Amino acid sequence: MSVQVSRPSAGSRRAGSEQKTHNLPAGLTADAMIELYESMVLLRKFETVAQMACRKGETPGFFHLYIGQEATAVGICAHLRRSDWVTSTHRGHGHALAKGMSPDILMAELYGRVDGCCGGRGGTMHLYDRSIGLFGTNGIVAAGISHAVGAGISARTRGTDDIGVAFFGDGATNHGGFHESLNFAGIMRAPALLVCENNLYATATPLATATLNPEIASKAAAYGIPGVAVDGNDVIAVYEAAGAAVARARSGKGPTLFEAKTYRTVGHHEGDHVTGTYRTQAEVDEWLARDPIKLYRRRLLEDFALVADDELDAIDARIDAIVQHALEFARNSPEPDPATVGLHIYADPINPADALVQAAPAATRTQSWLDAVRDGIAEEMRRDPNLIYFGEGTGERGGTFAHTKGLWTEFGPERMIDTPISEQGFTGAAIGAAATGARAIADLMFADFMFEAAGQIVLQGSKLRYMSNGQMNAPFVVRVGAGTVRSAGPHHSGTYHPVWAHIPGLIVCMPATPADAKGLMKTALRAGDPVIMLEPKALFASKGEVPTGEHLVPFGVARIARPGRDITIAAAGQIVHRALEAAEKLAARGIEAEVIDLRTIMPLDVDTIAASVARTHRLLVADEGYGPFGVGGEIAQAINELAFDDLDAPVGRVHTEAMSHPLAPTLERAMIVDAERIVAAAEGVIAGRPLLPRRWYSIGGQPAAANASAPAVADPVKAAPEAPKAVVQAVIGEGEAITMPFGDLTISEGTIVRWLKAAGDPVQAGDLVAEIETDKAVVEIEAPVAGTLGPIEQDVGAVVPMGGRIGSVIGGK
Amino acid sequence: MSAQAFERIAASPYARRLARERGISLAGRRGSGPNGRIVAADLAAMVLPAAVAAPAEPPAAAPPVVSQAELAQVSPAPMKEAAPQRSISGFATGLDLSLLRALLPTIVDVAPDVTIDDLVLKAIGRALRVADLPVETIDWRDKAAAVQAIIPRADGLAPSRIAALRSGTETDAARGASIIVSRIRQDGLRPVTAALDPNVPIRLTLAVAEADIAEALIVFDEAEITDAAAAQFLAALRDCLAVPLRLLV
Repeated sequence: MSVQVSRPSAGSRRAGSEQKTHNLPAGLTADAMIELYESMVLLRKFETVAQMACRKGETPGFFHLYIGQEATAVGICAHLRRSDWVTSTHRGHGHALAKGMSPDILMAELYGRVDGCCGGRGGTMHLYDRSIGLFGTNGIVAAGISHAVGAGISARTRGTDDIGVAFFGDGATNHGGFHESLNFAGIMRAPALLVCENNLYATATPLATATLNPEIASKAAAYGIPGVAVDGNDVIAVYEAAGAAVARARSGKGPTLFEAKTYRTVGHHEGDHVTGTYRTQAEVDEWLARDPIKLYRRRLLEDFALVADDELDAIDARIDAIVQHALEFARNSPEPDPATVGLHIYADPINPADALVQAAPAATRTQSWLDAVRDGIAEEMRRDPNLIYFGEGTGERGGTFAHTKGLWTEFGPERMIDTPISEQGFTGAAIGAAATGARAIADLMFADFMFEAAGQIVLQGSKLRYMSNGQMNAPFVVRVGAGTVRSAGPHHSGTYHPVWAHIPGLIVCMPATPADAKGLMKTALRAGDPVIMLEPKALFASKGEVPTGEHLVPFGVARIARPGRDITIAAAGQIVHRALEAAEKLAARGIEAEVIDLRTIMPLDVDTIAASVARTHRLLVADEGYGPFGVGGEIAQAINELAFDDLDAPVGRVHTEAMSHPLAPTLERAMIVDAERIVAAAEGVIAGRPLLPRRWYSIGGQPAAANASAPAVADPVKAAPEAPKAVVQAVIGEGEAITMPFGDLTISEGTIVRWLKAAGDPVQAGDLVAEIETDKAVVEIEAPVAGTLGPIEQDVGAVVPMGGRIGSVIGGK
Repeated sequence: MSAQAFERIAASPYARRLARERGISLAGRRGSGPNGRIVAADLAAMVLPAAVAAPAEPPAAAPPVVSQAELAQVSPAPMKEAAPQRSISGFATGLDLSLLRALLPTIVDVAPDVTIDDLVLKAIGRALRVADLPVETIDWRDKAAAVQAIIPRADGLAPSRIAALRSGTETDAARGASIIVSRIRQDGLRPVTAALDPNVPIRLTLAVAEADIAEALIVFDEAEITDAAAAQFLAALRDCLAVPLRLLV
């Protein structure tokens, strides 16, 4: 074992103490015993000095001190290597020191100085140090647990026996991040150790008032993993129990929930009252009597007789000097240069070099959207053996949209990981894995579900590069189906891309063609930053030409989907196609629209839009997101800034109406962006009067302006249900129609596999007459009524749209 | 809140740009857009008013939305009456403003309103005195900033007083003949011709935005100003700007 604190080691000191070693706890040498003491004293003295600095007002922000809990961090970290990863909490100075951070750079970080471990960008609750395996203290309760699980999975994927260790408080154990992570760690047999430092109070809330089961270790049973509870003030007890748990994790047997019962003998944060309203001085005094350092010192002197009093005093004096050095180091370190404030938000450059290679013109082939993206992922998984895929039903099942078909067969369950429905847990694990040498896709199925993992995406993944001063990054990809398709309803229809594009550090892609979807996915899987890949569900059944060779599409480069001279229409995702339809209608009226496919929302290619506006002098933004604070407003302002003198009319915008997606098709059509609404909006811009959006509620404001109502409602002809061609076919013809059944949201057609009856055969209602196959399943078709099977109208192998007629039953009843 | 209440011109930014580039005044006009807004298409029907001096800048390339045929209608300014025949000469030079620019930050605390223009105006006053030109006032025309001001040529004026006169917060009665100083806020342009208003013997065109080098053109009426005096004026101006300390003595 080794204690990895980088400070002058006591070395081998006590030649005369060897005869005592037969009394020592298993696995501990005399030197190691002394080092445990030394580490605890370092943690204590460091915090005491930090406390004084805070009280003097020398440090910005506020601290949560680790005083009283030292035995836990020291007892556990004594088992760890530099290449193991520790995630920590808001009370994390002790974990950082115990894992081996230099006291100098830790103190400098607390001072917000340039020599701090994060150059002053992180501070007390955001300490990162890649060189010693510290994956962050954390300002968000329970957020680091899933990172440690992911770091463990990453180590296993990369073929090492390193582990992830999460420290968290008792407050975290009532948080979803705890439950999701423990369950996921369990099912993954993750090489992880999950350490709850139960100091009895979540800030000021006693554990017993926050849960009816305050025995935290017992919660492990809920996830089928071992749980152990130890006296967290007894460093030897912690060390011994942790040894077994660490060995279990390293050997592939899985995670352990480790509860250390301990106590902070200071207030929740520095400046907070030591007792407050929630505990008594008597209780604090009782724990002070059990102070871990005091207890251990007595045992070293009396129980083990390893060392003399003055020898320990000498250690204390040496630590005093180390901590004093750290204080002086921090005080003398320069403040960060304000000119550097914009560094480390994204990788610089934001695109991986491979994406900027101009590919020579190559052969293409027609592919469906999902096949193209799936091929892109497969190519990248072959290229990078450390790329893993987390998702719900994306393993053997092949994905809800059949979007991972074949990947499980090729890459196996270790890389195509079927997760429980716990978006927060596995997205956090994806971040943990991606930040520690693997790459991960977190497939959240629907864009709506991203909010279940929003804390991990926004507060952890997007900020990691910045908080860590560019030391760490989380190159994970969130993959979701986005947007409206066939009445998917309030919880399965959103895109929400402006929400994510608003967050610094995230890249947001919304491709419109199979080739771009594949190319952007491949770029995302080589990029250095978190990527939100929003694939429009409405386009899953679309097909397009996809280059057969290596094909990457860079972020932030828009595509002119259709040139035109009179008005520019900027759009992304499925709205590109609605805009192209609108452009054809406008062309019939003599208006030539230029359609720009943005491809990525962040980075946003405003230069291409501005250059287009310099030609057309008019701009309409058509976007599937909501209008308020959305893409239209953002682009309009960018054009104000970049191309004001080129505008011959105010910029217009047409968005999905800002409301929940209704189920009823008539209502849904009234709120989504379609070609007719784009045409109306374009004509408004050309007339110099852009349509006003439906106003959000404002005190004393006017209700929606006259032209704000959706054209679908204003125009009863258009409001009539659009009859799909296939349905028309179904009504026409003799007899009772046998039709291609409507299936999944994103499936639009099926193939006749075989007919089970011949024309002229008698059939009963419910008899199987045919088998069809879609991208997702083989489906049997029943006779709708009794009678005689009519002529076979679609032969085996024919591809028929959903609702299309394939045959009939004649003479029914 | 009607547009008329402020006598503002409703015009799209692009229409304004085209008008600016072609020297077309939009004052008093209505366009075909909402609320009478002038849009680019309306400019095709507009011609240069005769009273406005021809622009010093070369005409901009035709923007794609207006055809060449339409542009042909716009660009030539038909002169209703022939101006009296005058004998015009001109000189051009580059003026180095870098030292003057460096001076500004050092006086910003005592003279926050003073700009590079005011120091240049002071230098012009000095040069007028050195060359002993027969003009009494400087007629400052800064179209881009929509400023026109009459400033006495006296080079003894403090720059802050010049700034006040130039910005119109103070005024001074015009006396006698003027030199027109036409300020073009554009870098990298070399003015090659300029029209002389009747009764004005000399005009100086200065083109500079952020650059250190200003392109300067003087045109003058040979009947009133000799070549030697005009050349001396321009040389004195150049020397004064190159050694700003000369402004103090």
